[in-house]
Amino acid sequence: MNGILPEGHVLQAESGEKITVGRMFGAGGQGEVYLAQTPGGERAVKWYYPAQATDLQRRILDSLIGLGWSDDRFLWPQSVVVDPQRLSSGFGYVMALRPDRFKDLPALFRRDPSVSAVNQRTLLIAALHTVEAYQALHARGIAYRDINWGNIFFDPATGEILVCDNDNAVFESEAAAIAGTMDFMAPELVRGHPGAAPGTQTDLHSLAVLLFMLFMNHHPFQGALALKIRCLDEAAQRKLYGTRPVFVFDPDDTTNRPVPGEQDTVLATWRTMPPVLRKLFVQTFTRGLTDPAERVRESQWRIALSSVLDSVLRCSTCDKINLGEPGGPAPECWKCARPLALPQRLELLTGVGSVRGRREVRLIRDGRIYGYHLVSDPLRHDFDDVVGVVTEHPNKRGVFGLTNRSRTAWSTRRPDGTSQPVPPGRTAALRQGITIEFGGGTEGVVHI
Amino acid sequence: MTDAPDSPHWALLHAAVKGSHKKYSQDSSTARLVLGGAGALLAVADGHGSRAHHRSDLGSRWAVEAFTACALALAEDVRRRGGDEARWPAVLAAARGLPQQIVHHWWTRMALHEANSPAGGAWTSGPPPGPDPIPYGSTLVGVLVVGRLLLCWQLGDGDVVLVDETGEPSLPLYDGPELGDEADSLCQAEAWRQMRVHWQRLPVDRHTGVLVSTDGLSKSFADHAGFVSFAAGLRDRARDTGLDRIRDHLPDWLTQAASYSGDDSTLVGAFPAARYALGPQGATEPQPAAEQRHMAGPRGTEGTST
Ligand SMILES: Nc1ncnc2c1ncn2[C@@H]1O[C@H](COP(=O)(O)OP(=O)(O)O)[C@@H](O)[C@H]1O
Ligand SMILES: [Zn+2]
Repeated sequence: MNGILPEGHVLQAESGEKITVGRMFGAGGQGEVYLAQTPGGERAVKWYYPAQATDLQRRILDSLIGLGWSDDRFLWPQSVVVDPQRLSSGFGYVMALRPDRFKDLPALFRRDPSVSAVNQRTLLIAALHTVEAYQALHARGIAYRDINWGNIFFDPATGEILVCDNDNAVFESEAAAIAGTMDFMAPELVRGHPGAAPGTQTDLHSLAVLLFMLFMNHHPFQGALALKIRCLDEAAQRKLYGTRPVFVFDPDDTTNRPVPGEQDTVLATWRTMPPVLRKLFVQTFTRGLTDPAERVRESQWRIALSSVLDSVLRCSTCDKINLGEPGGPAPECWKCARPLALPQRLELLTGVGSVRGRREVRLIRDGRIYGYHLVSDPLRHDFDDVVGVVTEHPNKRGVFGLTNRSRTAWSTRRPDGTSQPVPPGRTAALRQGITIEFGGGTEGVVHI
Repeated sequence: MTDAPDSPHWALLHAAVKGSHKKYSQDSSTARLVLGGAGALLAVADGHGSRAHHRSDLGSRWAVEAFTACALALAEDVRRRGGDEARWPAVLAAARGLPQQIVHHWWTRMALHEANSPAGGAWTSGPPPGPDPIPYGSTLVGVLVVGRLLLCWQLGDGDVVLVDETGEPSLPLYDGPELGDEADSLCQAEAWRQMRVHWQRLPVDRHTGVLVSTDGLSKSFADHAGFVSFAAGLRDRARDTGLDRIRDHLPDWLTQAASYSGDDSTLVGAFPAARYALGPQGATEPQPAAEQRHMAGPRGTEGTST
């Protein structure tokens, strides 16, 4: 594919480093992305279309790069590049290459074989990572402004995510033009409401759209009303996303329900959602449309997603992962429609004194307890930090234990008061009423 | 063809032939100027044609009609936005949404037809089943060029080839020979999910032409490389002698292709008019028969010996 810059063309970074342009990866709405050779190794270069290489864009880039932020969840702009030979006026920026294991959402939407490793659990993890990534930005006072399906990539096997296209992010107080596409934009921005400015509040709407698409593989406003439109031109988009947005599952307004036969996926995926998540989507996409304060915040998403992750169930008939309702009854398997059995649960009490945290984890086969389970207010969900794994007894089928994968010894306490150490590598039997002391004041009680 | 502008930016190619042992063709196609010649719209659809898809001639016709209706609306939208590159992100969002509109358009036609004359005969008892799209199965490949913006959509087999003035043609949506033979189709559930979208900004200085064809054409070559060099050859001829000459010969080439693949073959194209429409004065007359072999290199000439 041919782009603005020919292969082999040499660009220059602000530091003076020479950057050699390689093949073109693709074209986006604002520019083209190329492979690039730099003294530091292979990178990607985004080169703006002339119309998009504005002074404002340049200033935004400078301040983002000035932040000097390095976080493995973001392909953050690293340095501005220009073309010393002036073959093309304008500029671009260097970022890290996206590793191949990260796939885009359209691959998920079309059930591409490259994302076949994905399941409900990895999607939950991807959602959780996505929420935490944007939360990290917002905590720094940065609004992303252009959250959409094109800038999130995910690893179908692990649920890790990568946020790209960070070049529209701005500090909250900075004056900035409206960025992004209408299908992800908060309605007040689509309407051009005076006083509406892109910021954290409007990002929360975009984030909810993105999460909905991640789980449901469908846009939350594209139901029957959208199908009546011949082309989603500007006027149609303005109406669908701005002046008259109707959530496809609005409990009080059924005009935009998905159309059976033509939009079956979203009907099926919505059924697999536990009520706790449905409620948040309904809230954001009904009251939150007109009242930004009603939009679900990252911290709320985070708690809900994390608790659903603790309630993941495995079907004993077909082995499929299902999302359970925290503290709720067992649903039917989305795949084989058999009623699911509820496995043992571990009631975790964290922290000390009066600020104890409490959560419950369903102990499914191969289920994991992570470091974040053992602290009251974890900074971030780190799924590499496994401290325990639910394992089946090698000789007794159906008998489960929790194997200590941490580096510190636990101990178990029976209801009769006797206790036993569980050093790393050993397994604590999961019996009704047993308490596992994880150290640091954290303990878990097993309930059948 | 729509309104003939004073000097259109694009010159079109359009040829279709029926497969050599077919009663009638299941291909449908269109090539037309849009926005008074400032843009072009190309589409081909290939009805599956087997017994299970015995109404696929209708399916392919509706596919092209659905695409045309939706893409024309999109072209209008681009014009209203003034073709400004700063507005491209919004245009691309509309382009990404187009598959759903196209498929819905097609589905509605199909459902209406099925309601009036069900392919499986009238149902006799029980509640009416939903419409059965299978008899109407078809592919769809469509292209819209407006100004510098090139947009392509593809569902199932078929080819989009971009040819610059010189050099190797590129196939932006080609990702290797089809592995299974379960190609995507408009008759599958939520077909819009499988429709791929590609866009790029056309470099002004390279006079890029676009060819869109059904797989009846590409399959008539011994291999993919043969097809690509056919496209390059066509471009060379267009550049050196003008598109009018190509138009004269195209039906013969396709007929020959169809005789090798046995399938319907359809080719539509759009070339920058200023560069390709008229051949240089006094160009020598090519020798059709020899040229044809050389250009097409279809199976059966060089092809079978390998
Ligand atoms: N850092 C990167 N490494 C590898 N490929 C990238 C990178 N950034 C973008 N791309 C690819 O380049 C193409 C254009 O990217 P982008 O401008 O972000 O387009 P879009 O508007 O589709 O998001 C896409 O195919 C994208 O996957
Ligand atoms: Zn099951």
